[in-house]
Amino acid sequence: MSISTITITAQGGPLTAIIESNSPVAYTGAVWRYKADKTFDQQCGFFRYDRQEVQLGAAAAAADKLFLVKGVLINQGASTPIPYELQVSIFQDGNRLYTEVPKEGGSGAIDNKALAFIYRFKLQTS
Amino acid sequence: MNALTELITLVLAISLAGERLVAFIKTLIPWLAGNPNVNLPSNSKEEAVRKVTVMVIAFGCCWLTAYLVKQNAENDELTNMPDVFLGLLASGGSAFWTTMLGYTKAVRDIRIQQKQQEQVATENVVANTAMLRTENRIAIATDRICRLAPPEFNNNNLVNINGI
Repeated sequence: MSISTITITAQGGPLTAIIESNSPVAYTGAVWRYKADKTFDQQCGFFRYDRQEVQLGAAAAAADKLFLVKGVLINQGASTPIPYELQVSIFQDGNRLYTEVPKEGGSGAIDNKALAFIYRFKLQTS
Repeated sequence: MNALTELITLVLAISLAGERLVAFIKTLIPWLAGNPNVNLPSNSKEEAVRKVTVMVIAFGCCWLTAYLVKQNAENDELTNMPDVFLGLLASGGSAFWTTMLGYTKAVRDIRIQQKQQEQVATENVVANTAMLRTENRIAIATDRICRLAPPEFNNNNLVNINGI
């Protein structure tokens, strides 16, 4: 289990996550927020291929919190597998702070069968 | 439609060749061409005889051309038609068959356009169906994620994709 650490500015604006794909696949998922001791804090929201943005909260509220992203990928009607790559990007005040391809299910090839992916990250102040 | 176009093209070719032959015979026998300096009434007996003679010669020329074409053509459905029939059709005149050829070409173009439109419509239906199925599957997946209790952070279980 890997957790990516992303440095944010404590005095900065609200944070958002954008989940996007570089290939024409459909996907959906949710983002949950956890306290530093890994107890559940709140659900940040849902995303899908045509609504890719999820609000993570204000910098002060999101600092030192853990985030869990889970989702499903669908490639309807594909007779042969096509390569895909999902990217999770974290933005603060519209500036991209970090981009990463989830290690578990974030890239590979997909045919008509649905695939699941998972991604964890932590926000910490500089 | 292709067979009809081929038939009309063949008849047009015989008609053109037959008309050249008629023109040649008219040159040899000026009476057949009529005298431009003499305006005979169109219902006069002499003019009627001339017109009928020209028509008979035209039919004969087309028949002869059709016979020659059949002698030198490979066997197929068109050249298996009786040469007298081909000659009779060709004696209708090249102008008529040119119009007929244009008409069949226009009909063929319309059919091609209709086929293309049907193909585009079918492709749209297939694309819309695929989109609808994708949306259905995404809706099922989203519903399943919505119903998830907040997972333990360390829980490594992926979203259940059975049935999606």
